[in-house]
Amino acid sequence: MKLVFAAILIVAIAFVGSRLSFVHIRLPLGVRNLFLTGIEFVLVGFLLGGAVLDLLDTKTLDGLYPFLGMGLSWIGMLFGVQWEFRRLSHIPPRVFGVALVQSMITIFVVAVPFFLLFSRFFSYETDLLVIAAVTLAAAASGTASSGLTLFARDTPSRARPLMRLLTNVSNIDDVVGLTAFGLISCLAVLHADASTLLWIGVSAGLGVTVGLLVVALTTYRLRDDEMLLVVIGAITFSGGLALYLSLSPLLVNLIAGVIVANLARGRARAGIRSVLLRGEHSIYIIFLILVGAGWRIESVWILALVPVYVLVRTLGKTVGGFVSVRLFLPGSRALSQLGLGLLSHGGMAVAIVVNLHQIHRSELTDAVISVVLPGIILSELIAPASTRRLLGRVP
Amino acid sequence: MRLILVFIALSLLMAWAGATPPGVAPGAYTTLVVGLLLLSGYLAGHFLSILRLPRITGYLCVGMLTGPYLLGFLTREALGQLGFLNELAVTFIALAAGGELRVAELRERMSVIFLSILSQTTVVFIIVSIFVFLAAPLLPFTASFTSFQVLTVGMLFGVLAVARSPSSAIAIINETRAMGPFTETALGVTVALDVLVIVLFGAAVSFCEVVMSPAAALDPGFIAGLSVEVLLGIGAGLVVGLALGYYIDRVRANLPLLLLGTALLVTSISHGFAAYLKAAYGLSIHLEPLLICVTAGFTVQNVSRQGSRFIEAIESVSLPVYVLFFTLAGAGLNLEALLQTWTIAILLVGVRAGGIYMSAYTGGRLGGDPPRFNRLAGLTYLTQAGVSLGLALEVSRRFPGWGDAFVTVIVAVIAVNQMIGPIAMKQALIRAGETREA
Repeated sequence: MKLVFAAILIVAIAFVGSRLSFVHIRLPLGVRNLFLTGIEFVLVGFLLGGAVLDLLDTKTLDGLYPFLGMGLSWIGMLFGVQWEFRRLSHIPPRVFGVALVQSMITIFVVAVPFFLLFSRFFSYETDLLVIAAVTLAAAASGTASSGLTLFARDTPSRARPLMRLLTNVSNIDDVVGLTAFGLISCLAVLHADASTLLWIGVSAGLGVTVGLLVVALTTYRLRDDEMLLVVIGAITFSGGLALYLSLSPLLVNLIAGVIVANLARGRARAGIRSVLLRGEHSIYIIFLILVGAGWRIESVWILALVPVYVLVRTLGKTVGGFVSVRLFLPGSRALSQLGLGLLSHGGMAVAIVVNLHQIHRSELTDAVISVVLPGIILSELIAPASTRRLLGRVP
Repeated sequence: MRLILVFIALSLLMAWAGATPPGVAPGAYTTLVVGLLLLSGYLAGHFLSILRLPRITGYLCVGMLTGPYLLGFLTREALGQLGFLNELAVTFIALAAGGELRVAELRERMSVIFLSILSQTTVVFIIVSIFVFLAAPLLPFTASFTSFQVLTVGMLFGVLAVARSPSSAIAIINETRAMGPFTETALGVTVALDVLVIVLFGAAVSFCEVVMSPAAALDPGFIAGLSVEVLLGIGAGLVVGLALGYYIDRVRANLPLLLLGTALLVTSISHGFAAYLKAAYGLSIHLEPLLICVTAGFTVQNVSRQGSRFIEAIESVSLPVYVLFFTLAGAGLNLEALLQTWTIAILLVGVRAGGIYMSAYTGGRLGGDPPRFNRLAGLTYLTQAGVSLGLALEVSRRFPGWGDAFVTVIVAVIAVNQMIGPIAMKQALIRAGETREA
């Protein structure tokens, strides 16, 4: 009974949320950015969850976990289908270089101090500490492009190339964190047997198989409802299988999405994208509410790491932006502070840490979530001011 | 060929997963099974449609194959966890069934529908009751009963034989995109009989209690309670329907999601209301979610002027709902019960089918339908599902001594009818010339 009421409540909030747009309401930029990314629904979920109102208690949440698995898969596949190589060829390779290198540097800059911090405060085996630190860093490495839309209208023409670069980088750089997490989730310590390499192969093989299954199923001309069924079926199946094997549904479906984007026929590809986009908003909000509801702050001291996380991430993005611009766009001195425009965090980070929590539950993964979720909120609040500062510096 | 390969790949992946130790992620196996049911159900439906058989038979077969009695991919535990999705599907399909009933078209067919309901209720009830009385030696649990008690048990079988499956009917009609007087009659009769059978069952079970236990008195309160349930259910459906109509008229956005939410809400509130009345006042009044949703759908279609938008929204998301519902129904079909009681079950299915055929023919003939329709009408009413099962479980609860054995036979009968009913209905609609299948 409680499960059904909880499901209704979540669907209702998701429904209202998906209808509301706070972009036109006059609020401080940071708050508008928070609403734009939808992260406030994590707080809504937190209020509904066991930590506050207990409307969504642990038992109820357990019943709703299939939606969480489905949400992870949906996010992974939606990201994957954007990787249509033919379309991506319009983006200059050096932009890819900037995106990938700044993201990799961010991972390194965040992972190292957090590995040391976790080693200091938690007594887990080294492999698990590495997994936690890399997951947290992978979450830190991505950028939400939605925050940039706040400046889309009033960007001066001189800053437009920079806006274009920021948008392209933010559309691409999630792939690094997602892949890093996907690979780290294959570490043998998370699995009962077999080697890390084998699980990497299984992840990739599963992604390719699911992608090919979707391509095969959509070879025939499908009606809209058939397309919806095939997409939901494939996403649920692959997400369930990945989680069952303690792998990342995000990575598996990212690979499946890339296969679909590049091998499916034009009409089928458009149909699949359309289904994924139509459901995106509602699925995303349901996902965030469930995440918030499952969030437990076991110890308040862990919140002390939140500002550290935001600072280290900002440092990583700044250094990453500086180095990558030096490497791939030499001569553009105005772009050396590119990292300041890449602080908006977005939902992929939530998906990554939740994915870890799904496949390995411990105090350590609780801590990762408790650092990243408030870290995202904080980042969303400061990101617009930082982006505005960067855009204002363009000569 | 490509689809067969997909099917094989899915089965291999599932078998491999089954042989691999599971991880710690909660709900992962359930998620995996839901995905498997959706994809393999879709494929099986597609194969059967090539053979001009109903897709839902494919969904049912996949459910049976993957269910706890055969391959065991879908365990009893997972079936239990998916119960709430099943409830959602049932009420959603009921919304669709109500929405397909158009007063303007039903009015023209009113006499045929009324006469069909009358003849089918009477003839099927009488024939099945007498058959059970005569075939009592095949029902060991009646060995110690007096003749009158056997006849009373026969009446319970007779009442349940009247029940149909609106969910199967609506799925077949949607699949074949059937439209016309024959289809309207079939749907109208099916939905009405499912409501009527609840009231008839109340009377029969109350009578049976008196016969089985001479100390008990006929409980008019029980029958009155059932009537109140039906009336309140219709009232609640009217309110929900008007609210939906208003929403479609004024807002319209995200309608499929809203309809799914409505189906969930109706189920939840009706169960919650029943639990509250029981706990607070000791009253056993349970508003039937199916009845509420059929009425709500009917109201939107016929009162709000938003019928076409409503049906369009339902159809846009109905396929996953149908596939999930019927695969779960297939997985839930108790094949053990069928094995235990197959002789009496097959005989009951045959007698019920004979009764339905005769009565549908008679009803159509008296109502002035063309002979072609009358010859086919019986084929459209063989389906049987949820309501019969729910009522049979009520028998089990009220008669602990023999109720379980009764349920076993009913479950076996439903299993057979659920398999042959959709095939027969699809053939009838095709031969009536009202399908527009792609």
